[in-house]
This record gives sequence, structure tokens and C-alpha cells, in this order.
Amino acid sequence: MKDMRYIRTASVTEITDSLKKYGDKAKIIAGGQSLVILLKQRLVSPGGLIDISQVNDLKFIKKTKKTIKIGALTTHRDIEKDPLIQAHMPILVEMEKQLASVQIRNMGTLGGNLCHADPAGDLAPPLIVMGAKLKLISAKGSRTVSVEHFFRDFFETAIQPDEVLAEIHVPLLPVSGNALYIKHSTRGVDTTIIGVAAFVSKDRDSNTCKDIRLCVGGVGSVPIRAKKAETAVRGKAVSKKIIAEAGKKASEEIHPVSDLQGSAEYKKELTEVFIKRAIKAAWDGIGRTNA
Amino acid sequence: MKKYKLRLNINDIDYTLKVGAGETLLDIIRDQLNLTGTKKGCDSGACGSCTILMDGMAVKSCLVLALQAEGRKILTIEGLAQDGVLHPLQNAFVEKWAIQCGYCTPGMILTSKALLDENPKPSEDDIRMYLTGNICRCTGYQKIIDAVASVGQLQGERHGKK
Amino acid sequence: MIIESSITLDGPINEIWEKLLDPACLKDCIPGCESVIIRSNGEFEGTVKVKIGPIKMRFKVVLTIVEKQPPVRLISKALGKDLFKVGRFTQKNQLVLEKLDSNKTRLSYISELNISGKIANFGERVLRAKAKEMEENYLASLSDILKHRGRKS
Repeated sequence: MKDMRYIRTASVTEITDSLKKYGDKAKIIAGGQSLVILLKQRLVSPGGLIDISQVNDLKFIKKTKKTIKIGALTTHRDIEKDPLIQAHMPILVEMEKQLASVQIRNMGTLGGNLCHADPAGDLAPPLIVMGAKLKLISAKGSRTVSVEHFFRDFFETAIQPDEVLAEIHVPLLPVSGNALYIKHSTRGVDTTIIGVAAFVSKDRDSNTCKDIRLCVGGVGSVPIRAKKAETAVRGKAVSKKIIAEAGKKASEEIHPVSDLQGSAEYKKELTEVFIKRAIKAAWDGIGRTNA
Repeated sequence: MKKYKLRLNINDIDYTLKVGAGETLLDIIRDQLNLTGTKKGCDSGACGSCTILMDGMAVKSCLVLALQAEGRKILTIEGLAQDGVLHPLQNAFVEKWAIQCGYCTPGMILTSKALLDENPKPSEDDIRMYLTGNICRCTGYQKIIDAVASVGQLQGERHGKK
Repeated sequence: MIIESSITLDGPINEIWEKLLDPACLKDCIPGCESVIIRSNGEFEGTVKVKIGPIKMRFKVVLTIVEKQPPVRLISKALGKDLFKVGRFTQKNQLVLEKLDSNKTRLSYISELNISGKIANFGERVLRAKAKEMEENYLASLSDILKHRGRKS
């Protein structure tokens, strides 16, 4: 690969100073599990690399009253093994167990995964249905963006050249709520063909669905909220008929492209099936899995 | 090429090297240090034959830039045997016929070591899950799993002694 | 990879045929197109910028008309070379126009696209989706131009 400048940073300030100095001439490297592949294939040729992997201030998992705050340099393996995540957000643990391999999870970071913005990425759909937000920091200050609005296009996000993704804030699930992620791939941990995340909450008085959020990865240029499917379920009793309707609506509102991994029709069908499975499993699991 | 200083420990030996920003840990292990036990298979993070342990974690060295290993402790396959005595995993792979062409073997053994360090008595499912990132074209995997399981048994019998 | 689509456009068949071969219209409708000229031998030559996340490409494209039956059928082939050397493509297009009425025309195309070079490693699924997106954007832009023609810009 092309000769590059290497800048090692040890603090958030050093990161933002380097970004200010180099702008879009340098690329941030965290775990490198996506970027090193692009570098080796010479698909990107930055003039420099800003190594943020040793900025320990961005590696943490802490619980507040209403959220869990995760530093962007937290690795997939950290999430998989963390007791707080296991207790409060088992959807993330289940997702991580199906993500790539142990070696990749040891190095790959949540921040890197989100900034790489692979539309079939496994991390985004669960974070989207849980209403997670991202804190982006630059030399000018910081701002918050919802994960849902972070993705713009294939491998493209709302992050500006002078910003670094610093934190991920995930609201705790309500007691009457549950979230689930299921994915389809050639082998269990391979690149996702379709990934479906579902969040449901129950109105205990009427036993109807209080709220529902559904997100599908791998069927568009960004992860897609299946809003029409959600409308079919929200406020209603969660019967087999309602679930079937949600599945059908979801398959109608997505527009996947045929490729080697399946035709557009197959992907629509998969989405319908997975939406139904995810809603049912999430609904049935309410009250069982939360701390 | 612009070179940067890199200090790291490999198999209990401290090194100070000069590396380019784009060189991977795999490149410098094999090319600068002549430790060719770690293999370059796909060079894109899929096959796992480049797996080494970095601070005890299994990582694919083809996806780690050398400069990111600054200050870290690396274990390659060459560092596993102590004073000529093979590690129990190496013995098990031999005894259980878990080696054919041998290309995936160093990666398989190191990933398995990381597993046993975390979970001394893994189930077959645990082993299969942990080895997902290591591909073998020859053996069909069963004998590799048997080899790892047999060391797990042994460790279990000795109450977790390595 | 094969990409196909069709769209109903507001306009008489002859006018749409002209627009398909008009360099100014091509420049306005093809996403990322920087310039289109007609060479002395009748070939179209242009540059098109394509971006997929962090990967930037700038293709020099040469389009040759293989067969034309005005105003209904156009067969062309294109060759694109990326100036950043990330990729290359060849494309065979078959485009059919059908008169629906005096002011409505149906455009259908089928395109065989082959991408090679480093970008091809990136993944067929992304490239296919991106190529389809570009073709759809071209048609949407063409449709817009036809809808708003006659209005002052």
C-alpha cells in the first residue's frame, strides 16, 4: 500500500487536534478490521493514519439511571463478555456471538463498525430499535445523532471529517419491553444477508403492544426501519394474524437488490419470515430476560 | 518509505524495529523476524492461518498494523514449546491426527490456546464456536475438535493447571 | 451482472429519443457526470465520478452506439476506466422505447455490466446495488427534466 504518515494518539484532544490538522487527508484507525482490508486492497489511499486504538478514555461500559454508555473503542468481544450488557441488553450479546469470529471481535470496535457503515452490519439494527444515540466530538465541541439517522448511504455516515465517534448511549429496555436480533447468513457468523432487530413493549393493562420498532439490515443502502410493519402492530393485540400482517408489510416496504446471495424475491420472503419470528420471540420473551 | 519505531515483545524477546505505517504484524513477523510458522493464507482476515496471540487474545495478524502492536506481548507458534517440550495442544494435535498439510495448524493451535486459557473445559459447541475464524481444507475439523477437547479433559483432570 | 428496469416518461417518443442521445441531457442526468462530448467518430466520451463510502473513483467513459432504430431501439456499449485505477467496467445496454400515447412513452432497458479491478473485490452485493441506484437516478433525473421542460430554470 501507499506510503503513509502514522499518527498515534493517546487522548480525545489529540484525536480532534489531528483531525483538525489533517482533515480528510488522514483516516482514523481503531480496530482496523475493516480499514486494513480496504488499505490492502488499495481501495482507499489516505495520506495518513490517525491511530486511536490506545485512547483508553474511549473504552468503557457504564450504567446510568436510564442508559448504558459505551465508549466507541469498546470491542465486540468486550460487549459479548460484559456483565452489565448481559444483564440489561442481552440482544447485544446474542448479536455479538454471531458476528464474524473471536479474532475479529477481539480487535473490532463498536465505533469502527458504525463508522464503516456496511448496510448489512449487525450492530446497527439492534441499536436502532433500542433508540441508541451517538456522541460525536470535534475540536469545536460535540453533538448527538441518533443511530437511525447516522447512516447516509453505502459505507457513508453523517460524520464530518473533523469528528470522531466517541460514545454510544443506549437507553435501558423498559421492564415491559424486550428486544431481539436474528440474522441469516451462509454460515452462522458470515456476512449477514438479512438481519432483523425487533423491539416490543407491552401495555400490561390491555395486553396490547405499547410500542414496536423493527429494523432490517442488508436490504438497502442503509439499515431500514420497517415503519409500515410497525404500524400494523402498534396498539394492537399481538395475534398470529397481526404478526403475519406485519411480516407482509415489511416485505413490501423494502426494496432489496438481487445478487449472489439471493434474489430480491428471496430476500423479501426472508424479511417477512424473520420479521414474524422476531416479533413473536421478542413478545414472548417480555418479562423473562430483563434485569 | 517512512519508517517508525516499534517496540514489542515476541515470544518473550523484546524487539525494537523500524516499520512502515502500512505494514501488518504478519508482514513483520514473517519478513523482518523470519518467524514463518505464522502463515499468510488469504491475507484478508478470513482463513485464520495468520492467527497469533496478542496480550493473550487471538487476533488475525494480517489485519493488525504492526504499529498497533506497540508495547504488546505477542505469542507465535514458535513460542509455544518450552525448552524443546511441546505444549499439550501441540502433542494432542499430533496424537489425534489433527494435522494433514499443516497450513492451518499454527493458527488453530493458538486460537485453541486462547480458548483453553479462558475456558479450561470447553464443550464441543464451545470449541466449534471459538474456531469459527480458522478454516481447514484438509481434515474436516473433527480431529481438530477432538484434539482440543482432549486437552480440555486433561486440564480438567489436573484442575486447570496449564 | 444484469440490471433491468423500466419507467413511464412524460413526453412524445421522438423527443425522448433525442434526449437519450443529447450530450447536455446525459451530463445532467447521469449521477456524478462531469462532462459529455461527442467525438468526431460519433462516440460519446465523458467523465463520471462515483463514490462508495470512502472509495472514490473517476471514470473516463467511452460509449459507442452499436445499433439504432429510431425512435424505438438503441443498443450501445460502454467502456469505463477509472483514473484512480480502482476499477474498470464494460457495459452492454439495450434500450427500448414504446409509445403509450402522444405524450407518454415507456422506456425499458436491460444492461449487462461487468466490473473488474480492485473495486470488484469489494463485493458484488454493493456494486450491484450501487449500479442499480445510479441507473435509477439517471431515469429519475430524465423524468424530472421532461416534467419541467418549458419552465424557466
